[in-house]
Amino acid sequence: MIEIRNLVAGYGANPVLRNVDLEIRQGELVSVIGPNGAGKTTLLRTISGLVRPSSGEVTMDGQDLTRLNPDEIVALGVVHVPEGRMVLTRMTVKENLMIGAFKRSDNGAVKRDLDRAMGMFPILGERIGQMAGTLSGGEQQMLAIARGLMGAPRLLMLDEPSLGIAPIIVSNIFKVIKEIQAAGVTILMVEQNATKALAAADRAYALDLGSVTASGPADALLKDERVRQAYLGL
Amino acid sequence: MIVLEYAISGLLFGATYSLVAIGFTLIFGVLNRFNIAHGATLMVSAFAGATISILLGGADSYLVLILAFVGSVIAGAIVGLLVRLVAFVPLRNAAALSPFVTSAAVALILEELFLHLTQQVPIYSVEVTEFPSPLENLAFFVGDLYIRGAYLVIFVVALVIMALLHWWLNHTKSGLAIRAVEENPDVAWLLGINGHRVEIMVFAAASAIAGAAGCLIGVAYGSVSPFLGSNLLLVSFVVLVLAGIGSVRGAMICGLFVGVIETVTAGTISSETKEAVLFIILFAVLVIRPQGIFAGAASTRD
Repeated sequence: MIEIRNLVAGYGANPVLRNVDLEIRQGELVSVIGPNGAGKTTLLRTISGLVRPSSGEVTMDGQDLTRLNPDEIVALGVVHVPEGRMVLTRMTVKENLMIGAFKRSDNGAVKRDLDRAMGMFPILGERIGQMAGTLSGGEQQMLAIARGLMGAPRLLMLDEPSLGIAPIIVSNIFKVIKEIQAAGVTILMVEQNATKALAAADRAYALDLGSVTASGPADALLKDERVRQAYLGL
Repeated sequence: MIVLEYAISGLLFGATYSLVAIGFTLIFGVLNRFNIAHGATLMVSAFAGATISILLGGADSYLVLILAFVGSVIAGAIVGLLVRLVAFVPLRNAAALSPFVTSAAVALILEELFLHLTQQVPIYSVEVTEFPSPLENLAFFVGDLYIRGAYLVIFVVALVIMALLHWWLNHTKSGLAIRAVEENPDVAWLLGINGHRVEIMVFAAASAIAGAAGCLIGVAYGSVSPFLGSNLLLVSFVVLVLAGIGSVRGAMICGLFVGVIETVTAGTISSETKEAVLFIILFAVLVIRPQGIFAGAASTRD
C-alpha cells in the first residue's frame, strides 16, 4: 500500500530522516518505535505532506505522494492524527468530529461514521456539545482518533497515542486501535511506549537518529536482544 | 440631552470601526500576521464608491448609492487579494514581521497613488473628494433627539454584515474551516483543509468588509481622501487592543464603544481631545487587563 524508499527529510540543512525504507501492506498494523528525536514524527509529517522530503520516494499504490499538498493526501485516504492530540479546543466535540469529514461529501456515510465513532467512544457521545478544550487528556486523544476515523481513512497514522495519558485509558485506546484495524483500516503507529506498540503491531520498525536500525515481525522484534536492550530497557 | 445625542451618533457611527477592526482581526487570526494595508484597502474602495456616485450622479439616487456600495465591496475584495499576492504570499516562510513591512509599503504606495490621482483626475479634488449621496441631508427626530439618516443606515448595514459574518463563521463548512486554520493551521491541513484557499477566502471577505466600511464612512463624511484609511487603521488598532486580538465579537462591541467615546469627547470637550481620551482608556485597559476585555470570550467564540 505505502512504499517508502531512501527517504531523506527534515528542517533546514540537517536531515532528520536519513535514507529510510519502509513498507506498509494493506490491512497491517505497523509500529515505528524509537526514542525522542529519532525522527518518528517527521516520518509521519512527511507522509502526510506537511514536510517536503529533500529526496527519496513515498508512494501509495504506485502514486507519488511527495508532490501533493496535505489536503490532497487526506483526500486519498491517508489521515494523520498528530502528536499531543491537537483537537480544536475552541470547537465543540461535534464540530471536531464533523470537520474530520471535511473532504467528504457522502453525507449519509458521514452520519453513519459519526454514530460508529460515538459507539467506539461512548464518552464522546456524552460530551458531544461540549468545547473540546474542556475534555481530559484521554478524552481528547479519543476525540482525535475518532476525528481521524471521520475522514474515512484507508491508512490511519497515529502519533504517540499513549503520550501523557493514564495507563488504564491507554489500554482502552490500544483495544480500540485493534478494533479499527479489524474493521479494515491499515494503521501506522508511532510510539515511545515500545512494549505496548510491539504487542499491538503485526510488523515494526525501530528508528534511531533518523535511520531504521531494526525491522521485522513485531513478535520477533520483541524477542530480539538488541531491540530489547535499546528500546525496551530490558 | 445633547450628550445622549452625541452618544447615539457615536454608537451608530462606531459600527464602521467594528467593521474595520473585524476584517483586521480575521486576517490576523488566520495568518497570524498584521495587514497594515487594510486601511489603504478601505480608502481605495471608498474612492471606488465615490467615483461611481460622482459619475452616475448619486446625489439623489438610492439606486446609485447601492451600486456605489456594491462597487466598494468588490473593489475591497480585489485590492485585498492583490495585497495578499504582493505583500504576503512571497513571504510565507519569512519572519513574522516581514509582511508587516511589505503591507505597510503597499499602504504607502496606494496612498501616494491616490494623492497623485486626486491631483490629476478632474472629478477628484485635491484635499477631499466629494462622495455624493441621497443620505447627505436626511435626518429625523426621535422625540427631541436628532439622528442623522446616514448614521442609522450605516448602523443597520453594519449589523447585517456582522450577523452574516457570524452565521458564516459558525454555521457553514467554510466557516468551520476558517476557525480550524485560526486555531491550528497544521492540524487544519491534516484534516484536509487547504490553508491557502482559506487564506484567499479570508482576505477577500475581510477586505470586502473593509470596502463596505469605506463606502459607509465616505457616505457619512460626504467625502473621501487618500489618508482616510490610515486614520481608521489607528482607531481599529485601539479597538483590537481593547477587545483582545482575535476576538471577532469583542471587535464588534469595542468598535461601538470607541465610537461613543470619540463622539462624546469631541462634542463635549473638543475634537482634538478625542484621541487623547481614547488612548488614556487604552492605557488603563492595558494596565488592568492586558489581554484585552474580550480575550476570555475569544476562546469560546460564540
